[in-house]
Amino acid sequence: MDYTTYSEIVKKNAPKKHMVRNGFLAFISGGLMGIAAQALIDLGTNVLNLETPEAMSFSAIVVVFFAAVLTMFGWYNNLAQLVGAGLFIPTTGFANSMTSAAIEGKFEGPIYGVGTRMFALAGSVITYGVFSAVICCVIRYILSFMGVAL
Amino acid sequence: MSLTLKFKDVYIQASAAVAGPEEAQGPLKEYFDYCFSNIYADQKSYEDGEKEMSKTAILTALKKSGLPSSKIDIAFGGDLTDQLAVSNLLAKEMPYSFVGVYGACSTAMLSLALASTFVSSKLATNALCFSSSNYGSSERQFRYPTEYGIEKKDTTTITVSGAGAAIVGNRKTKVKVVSCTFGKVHDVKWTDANDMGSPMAFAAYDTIAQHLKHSKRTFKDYDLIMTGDLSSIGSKVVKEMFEKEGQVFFNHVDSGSLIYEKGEWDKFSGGSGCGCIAITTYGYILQKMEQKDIKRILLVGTGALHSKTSVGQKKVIPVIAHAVELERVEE
Repeated sequence: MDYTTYSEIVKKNAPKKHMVRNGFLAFISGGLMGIAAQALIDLGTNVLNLETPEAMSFSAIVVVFFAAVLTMFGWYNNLAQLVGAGLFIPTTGFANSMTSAAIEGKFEGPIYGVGTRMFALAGSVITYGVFSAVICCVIRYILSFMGVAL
Repeated sequence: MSLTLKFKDVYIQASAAVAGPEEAQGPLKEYFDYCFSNIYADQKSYEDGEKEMSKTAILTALKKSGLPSSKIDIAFGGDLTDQLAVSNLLAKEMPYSFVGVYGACSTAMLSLALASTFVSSKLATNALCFSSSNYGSSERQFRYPTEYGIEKKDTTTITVSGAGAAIVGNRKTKVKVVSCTFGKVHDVKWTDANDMGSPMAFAAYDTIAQHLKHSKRTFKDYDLIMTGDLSSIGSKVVKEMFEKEGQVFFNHVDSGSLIYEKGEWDKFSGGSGCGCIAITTYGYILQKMEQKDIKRILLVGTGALHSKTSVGQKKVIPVIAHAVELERVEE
């Protein structure tokens, strides 16, 4: 059998992608995450008497904590399978990538296991987060000479 | 052109299948010799768990055969971890010669074919073959940490946690190893590691076609032709490939579709891994043959020969399939 006939058969049998369903679930769950995080900020400013920047950090810490706890109990991946990007894009995705890698790192011990493997998936986010911050700062610095204040 | 070998006086002396917790809840549970309640098999890591499963399968097979380990001349075996770490760590406890083999998920059939070749050519009287896989160790090896929350595609297969072992020898028993076909490695320009059923279907198609041609047989000569882990998608592809050639592949079954109960673990495309066809064959199929439900079967182990590094470098995924034909001996 030639390659062309084979690839036609493969193409025909490829399962349908559920883009609408996945997009809808991600939109709803991502939105709910946003509401929850905003509620935590409001809790910080109104009840705990925190300044807004502090309340935002407080909100992020709580979200990350819960993502880590859900990962620990083995529930996070089931939730993520259901809602996809709704949990992957927020800070929860970052928290889960570190905790899930750390859990399995324990087999190789604290140094080469947990310590090293923890950043196996999250490393990219940190690297390019820092890199893009540097680029943005340079642009801002150059613009300041031209009288543009950002 | 693939190589087909016809064997003389090669029989399955005994076999054993050991399964993990999810597999133990599936439809084949009564055919497994031993089931562990967790994928760690009560050890400290996934890899140690896999080794324990493999060890249990080998010791059970030896016990069932009634042969002392001194009567085993050579062992062939493998798994899916880096440099066959699990099998090699297990082999250091074996008093006989050991050859580690890697054919990805086709390892179970590759090791059986090699063991049969040695016995048939009188290079060994009794040879052991085994293979194992573990959901945890394979996810670590090829994908992400098990708790990582990424949405898996529908085409994904679930690595079976389990191990199978068999002893082949020249003493006459109920099941005979008739022949085998060592497959060729194919490149179907495939790079998606989340759908390995589709490319492996090509390898399965080629090996089956070659085996039928060389053995001068048709689909009608077999009660069943069982592929390893083509997934529900690859199974459709291989059937359609034969249909295009004007042949109806009516007696096909994929071992990955037999293992899990419909529901939670069945939401993807079926089971995969070295353990998949190993526990299905060495547990279910051989018992069915002894019970006279199956007379002749062709087992086709399929493998996707990629590594995390090769996929990372955007290389194609080479695929292979090895086939072994078994037949019940009429008294």
